Amino acid sequence: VPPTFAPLSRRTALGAAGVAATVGLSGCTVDLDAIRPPTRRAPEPPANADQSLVDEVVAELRHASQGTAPPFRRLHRSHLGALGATPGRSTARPSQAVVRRREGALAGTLAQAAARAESAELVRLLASMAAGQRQLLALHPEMGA
Amino acid sequence: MSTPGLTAALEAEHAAVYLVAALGGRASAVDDDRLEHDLDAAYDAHVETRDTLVALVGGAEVVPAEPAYALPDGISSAAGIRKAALRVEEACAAALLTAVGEVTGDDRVTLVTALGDAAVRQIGFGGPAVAFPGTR
Repeated sequence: VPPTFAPLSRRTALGAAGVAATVGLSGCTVDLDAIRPPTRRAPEPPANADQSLVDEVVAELRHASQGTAPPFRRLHRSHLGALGATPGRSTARPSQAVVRRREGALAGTLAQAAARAESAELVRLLASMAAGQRQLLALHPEMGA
Repeated sequence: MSTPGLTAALEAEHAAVYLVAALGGRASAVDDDRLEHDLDAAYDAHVETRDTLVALVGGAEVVPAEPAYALPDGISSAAGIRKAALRVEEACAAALLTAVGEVTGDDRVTLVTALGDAAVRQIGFGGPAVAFPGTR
């Protein structure tokens, strides 16, 4: 059972809350005089402090999945699922040298992501994913060249 | 800095240092050079991780090692020793996985690496590759 983490659904939930607020207003009488032009607005905080990190990791996993060996493809699919993402579609067929380089680098990428994550749940998930990638590379050392 | 996860990881590493040393002694009697080598390497790694955790926790909050730990059954054969070593690595990986979420910066990097090392040693002791090492 992977550590629980649902940053994507959290962002979706926040988006849904915004939609609900908009819909709620549509049935009201709005005082147009009360509407003032917006002053300088502070940048909105990201929906989740870790969202951009999760997006990066998802992109790396999808990248590594292209043309890789079945055991690694299955592992990446499991990891993407834990992040609330799917493998995506790609017709790219990188060379085996590129595939091996990506697989070899991925464990380090995941470990670095674990070091950068804010939420403890995501730290644990990414650390476990990095360990899983290292395990599979230990079983298939030819894939980590 | 003492947290429940760090304390549990330190307790697991204390036990690992004792048990892996004991398993190494048993391995010398079953004439398996590869197993002896893997246990020697595991022992060094667990000593290093234990010392790291002692430094992280620091001071009076460091939990001491028990005088002795119960040896598992079935360690009279190479297969039994590997199985017992695998259990030790799984227990340490689980404890380290909890601890990584309680530290930051270089300390986290160190523990993430230690977790990965424990996961790789599981393969050396005949364990399967799993998607999420450290989870049970």
